[in-house]
Amino acid sequence: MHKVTKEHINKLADYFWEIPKSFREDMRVPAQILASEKILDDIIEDRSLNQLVNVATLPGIRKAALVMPDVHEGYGFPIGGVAATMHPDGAISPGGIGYDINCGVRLLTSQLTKDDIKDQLEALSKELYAQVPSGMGKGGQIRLSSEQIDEVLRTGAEWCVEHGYASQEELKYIESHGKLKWADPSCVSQMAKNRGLDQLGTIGSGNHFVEVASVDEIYDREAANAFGLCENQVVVMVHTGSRGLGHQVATDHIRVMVSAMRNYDIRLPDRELACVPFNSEEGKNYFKAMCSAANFAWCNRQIISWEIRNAWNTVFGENGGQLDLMYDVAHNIAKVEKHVIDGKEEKVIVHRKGATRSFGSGFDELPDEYIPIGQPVIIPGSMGTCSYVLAGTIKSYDLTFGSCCHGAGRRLSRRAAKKQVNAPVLKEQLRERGIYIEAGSFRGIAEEAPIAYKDVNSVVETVNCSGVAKKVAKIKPLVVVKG
Amino acid sequence: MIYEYVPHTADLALKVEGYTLKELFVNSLKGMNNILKSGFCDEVKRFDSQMTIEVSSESKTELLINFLSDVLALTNIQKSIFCGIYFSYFSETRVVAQLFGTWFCCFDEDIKGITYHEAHVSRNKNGKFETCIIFDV
Repeated sequence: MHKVTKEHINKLADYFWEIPKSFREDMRVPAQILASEKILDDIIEDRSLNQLVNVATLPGIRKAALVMPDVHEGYGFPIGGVAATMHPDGAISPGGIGYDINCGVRLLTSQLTKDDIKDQLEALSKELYAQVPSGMGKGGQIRLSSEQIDEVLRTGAEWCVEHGYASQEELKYIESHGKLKWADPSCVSQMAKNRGLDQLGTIGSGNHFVEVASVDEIYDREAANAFGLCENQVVVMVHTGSRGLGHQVATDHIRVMVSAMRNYDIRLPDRELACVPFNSEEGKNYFKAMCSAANFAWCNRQIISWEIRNAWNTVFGENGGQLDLMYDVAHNIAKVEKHVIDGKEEKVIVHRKGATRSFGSGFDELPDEYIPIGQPVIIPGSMGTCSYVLAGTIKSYDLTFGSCCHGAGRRLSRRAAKKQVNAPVLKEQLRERGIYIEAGSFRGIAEEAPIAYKDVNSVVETVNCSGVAKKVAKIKPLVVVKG
Repeated sequence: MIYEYVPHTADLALKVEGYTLKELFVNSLKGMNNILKSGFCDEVKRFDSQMTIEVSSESKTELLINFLSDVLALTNIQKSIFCGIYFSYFSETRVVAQLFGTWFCCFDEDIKGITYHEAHVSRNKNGKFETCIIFDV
């Protein structure tokens, strides 16, 4: 298989490129890339575009296999990939969602400004580190019974309302209101459930974090007002997913599909793309299990918000005010959605792996005040840089099945980052810039150093200029807590 | 070399070798454990837990990945790193083994999944079994 080079890529429009179907005979649709020319030149360096071409061979794939500008090489699907397959008999592929099912981001808004908290940042960082369990292999404060874990898998963030960790009102501010109704705990293995019993309310490790930040710049005043954002306001961002439970669901069902593919005469260039028809027994079982894991992730992020509120109250007392949920959005998930393809509305199974839903104005799942604006999209940058709040657009339906990027995108391997970064020095440098880091190890700091990531500003500029999302606000970190 | 790490942008890639298929499995387990907690197995002086594992698959490559995935799941559930292993049955499509583990407090690296991507157990020009294994971390 030859590597994709720039000669194989046609420019369709500014920020939009295509590898035609003729590039390889097993492609069922073209492969499309959302990128500036500079980003495209970087993307070509790794094997992510060859992986995208592999995605274009999935049975039942519609219109095009797509990557966002933060794309980088993964296994099977590239990270930053979007693929929509025909409903109900097109493919569902766990590799198109990833091992961390419903990894996602949420943003909480406070009533304080960065000046209000500038003298308490260190205390806040330590309290957050104490209250929000982080790091690998560490359990949380909640230990579920086997009946309770089934309730969590069935009801997602609703479980938090029933148990006092959330208000009913808050659910409106979560994608799919924090619950996918197709969830069926009987499709989740006992091994997966056992892994989840003590993991609610934990962030884990790697690139997962809790970050306190302040709003640095507003680009769209109307949207910012609707989302409850203003200059210098302190916000809190959470990035994590379904933890070991979701990892095990993916592992279990990829294993089933690797064998089952033979029964459906599916041949693919990479086993990690393993898939079956969505309406097959194996496909339905995976989807029900994936929905269960997605519900677990929403419940997890909600309980982490409760822990953050406890830390906030401990540090600021009655002067701290409330932390309100602005929005919670998934970036590793599959959804059955309706999109217009060749002028006709079709039901499709949209796989987003390292890609965020970015639906535009008029989307009636949103809270009333967001409907005229579009869905909030939260794009975390790297540890020492900035992050963005965007709003989804109607144009994204036409270009990317209503999707946009999910972060800055990794540039260096973890080992390369560790070789290049002196973590204690980096921690001190960030401290001098007013950013407090609390981490389980220096190794974790080095792996997630800003140098390991692409420039989030260029990535966000690309999605903004291409029209798949619009910039609303930029936020800058004050405190980062990670495993 | 029994295993070495090779560069991969998002994840961790391990190249493993063994004179026999069984040795390849043992070396892959050592490589995985070293990702989870560097040097942990070198310092283990006692075992705290014992588990039996049985895995069947349609090929030796799938068997290796599925075996490591099941050990990883037990590692997470039992909070034990399984540095000791005894195979009571071993073929290219089925293994039965006793795992001996030692409790730990936390990992260095959280492995989310062990992928089939680029995994291919074959003999190299030196007659050894080898494969690449990509870990989602």
